[in-house]
Amino acid sequence: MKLRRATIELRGPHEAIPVTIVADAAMATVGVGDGRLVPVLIVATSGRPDIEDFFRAHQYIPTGDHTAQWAHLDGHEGKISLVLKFVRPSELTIILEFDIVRQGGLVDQIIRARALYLQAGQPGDRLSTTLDQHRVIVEIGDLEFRNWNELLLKHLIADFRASGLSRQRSKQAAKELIEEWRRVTESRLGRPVPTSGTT
Amino acid sequence: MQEHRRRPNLTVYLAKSFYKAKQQSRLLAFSVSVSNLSDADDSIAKIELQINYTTSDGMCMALRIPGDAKLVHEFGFKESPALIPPIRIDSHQTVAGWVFFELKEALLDDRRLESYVLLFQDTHGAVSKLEQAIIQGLVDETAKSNN
Repeated sequence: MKLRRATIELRGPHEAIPVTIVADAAMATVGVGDGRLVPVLIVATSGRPDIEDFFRAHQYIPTGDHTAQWAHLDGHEGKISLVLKFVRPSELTIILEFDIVRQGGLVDQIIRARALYLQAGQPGDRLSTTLDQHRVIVEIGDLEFRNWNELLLKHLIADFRASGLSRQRSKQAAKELIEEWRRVTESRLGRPVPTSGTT
Repeated sequence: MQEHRRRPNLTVYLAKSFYKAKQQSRLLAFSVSVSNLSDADDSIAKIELQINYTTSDGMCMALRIPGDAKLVHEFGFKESPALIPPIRIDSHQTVAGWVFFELKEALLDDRRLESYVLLFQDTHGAVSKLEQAIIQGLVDETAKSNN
């Protein structure tokens, strides 16, 4: 995929700052996405009253409308961003930024689930302690992020190389890590996790 | 020139607007007419109400709520129908009726309401807007006199 330079239209400078992801987890519900495991991102809303308002509006107006776009922000090396522009129920832009090495598994899961849950929170919040909190499902769709595999592989190999592994061992370790992530996150409610080996 | 006249061009006119307080909600009714000034036929695909407000931190926000034609019973208007999309409007024709919305008080709470904007989206995605800052309150005098 060839990168295309674009400008993101924002309502104010506060929207240009990626929101802090304070915790992530995953949820599978039979009625959502055929029971696939959908990542849950808890985002810090301090300094972003518009995000708090957005979640509040969603409690009363369940339908929404948005666009999503994966992006590399200028000057943010080693990171990948998901730009969510909401039109309904309220207008706002949320930029989620992920470290490709540290949070590559999470990005991979969002791409494969084609959706994520967003939940408002504060540092220290965990899904297990905030299960009754309102959360919004955001469909990501197929965004033609076709070079994700090579991008993830490239960054993981570089990271393994930096930790002292040989070139060949780094390639192998990166591939194994991705396979393991995907094996774990491919489970769906009502379906067993496929395992390798003999039965 | 002829091509220009075939471009979508809906114009909205507001005749009356009322609000009525309900438990934990504000019901809003707008009597509107929508004219198709284009040489081509068109349709209203979506009707929404945008509520512009300011948070206590001074941040300007816009909230969009969908129309709810069922609220016609709350107002008891009988002289003209509720507009329910999709509504076909032939070239150089006009449709008229009421549009209704329910705004939950919890959505605004301590926020400062700035204005209401009616949004009419046509088949081509073009949006015609109409802003209204003040809406007349409607009180049920019958209910009052009975008490």
